[in-house]
Amino acid sequence: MHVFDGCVFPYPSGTVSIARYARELSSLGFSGCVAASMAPVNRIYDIPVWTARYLTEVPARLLSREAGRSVQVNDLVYVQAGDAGYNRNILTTQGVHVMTNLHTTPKDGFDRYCAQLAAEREIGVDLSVRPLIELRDGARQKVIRRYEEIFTLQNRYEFPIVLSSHASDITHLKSPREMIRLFSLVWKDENLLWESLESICRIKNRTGPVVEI
Amino acid sequence: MRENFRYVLVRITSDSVFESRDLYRSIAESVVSLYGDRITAQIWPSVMQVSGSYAIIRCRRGLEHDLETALCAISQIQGTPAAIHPLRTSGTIRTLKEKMPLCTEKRSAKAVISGVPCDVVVSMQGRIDLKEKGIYHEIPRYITEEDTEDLYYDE
Repeated sequence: MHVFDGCVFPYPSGTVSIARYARELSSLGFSGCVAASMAPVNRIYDIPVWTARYLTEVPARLLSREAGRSVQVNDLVYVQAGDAGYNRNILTTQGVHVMTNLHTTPKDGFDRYCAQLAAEREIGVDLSVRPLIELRDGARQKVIRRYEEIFTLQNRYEFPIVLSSHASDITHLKSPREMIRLFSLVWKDENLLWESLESICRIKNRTGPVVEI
Repeated sequence: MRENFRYVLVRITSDSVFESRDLYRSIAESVVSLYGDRITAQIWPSVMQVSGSYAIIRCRRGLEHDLETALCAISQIQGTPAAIHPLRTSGTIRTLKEKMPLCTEKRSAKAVISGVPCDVVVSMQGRIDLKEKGIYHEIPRYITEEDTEDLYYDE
């Protein structure tokens, strides 16, 4: 079982080195993680560390170019979600692996059509545990409702969900069991939640659809 | 009638050491914020013991999963960034005390990171935390022995 933390932010975005993240996550029970940065070449960590390019606020016309460039140097490409039109653009762009920050998108930013596209192209939808921890009252309720909508769409279209801590500090890290506990506030199916912790491996090793010749 | 309780062993990740009163306030705030007063009254959380970075929390039997969820949702204690990691659940305090790690020793040292010499605290498995303030934007604050250029312990 490959349980991965979907996204952590090492130094300089955060306060923690990649080696320390690897050690902490290993002791918490993860078997790998995705770091949103460049990792030093030829360095071995306690657990496998995949690197991701985290694209934020990239204009739609430049998305294809940026995603293509990232694939050459990083293992994965994460793109921050926006409104419905922008999200459809992300989901039809070659080389994108995961769409993030859906809880900050406008209402109906991720609709049935987006869910269908994500399922067809095996693009992951990243759900961060941080808003569930850091927000309170109405803001947290809104995030829970949004996550519930995404899980409902997942139940129907079966696109991959990626669970991540989005940690930028040592205190933001959560063990797999803690992440399951927190997401069980939103969705009760623990089997799906465990699958979501493993889904990044499937997304990274995805193959294109079978084409009839 | 005698109540049945469950006890949860937790590890606190923070730079500071907290008293049981501070810990209780954070736990109570988190439980109330997540579940409201009615469920909080049912869970009946209570801090039994704090020992360094470990603590034992009590709750009513059958509601330990709800308590664990609320513990995971804590992001600060007394305004200091902190995390609480539930480790084990048991029906007796004695069992958890046996499982509580005895060796949590930390050593002061000096390290050179990216050419910057600074005071650090070294704990188990080569985990290094920087103590100095004001340099964190230049170098990472939480590192390992492999990230240092030079490391020597204080006498």
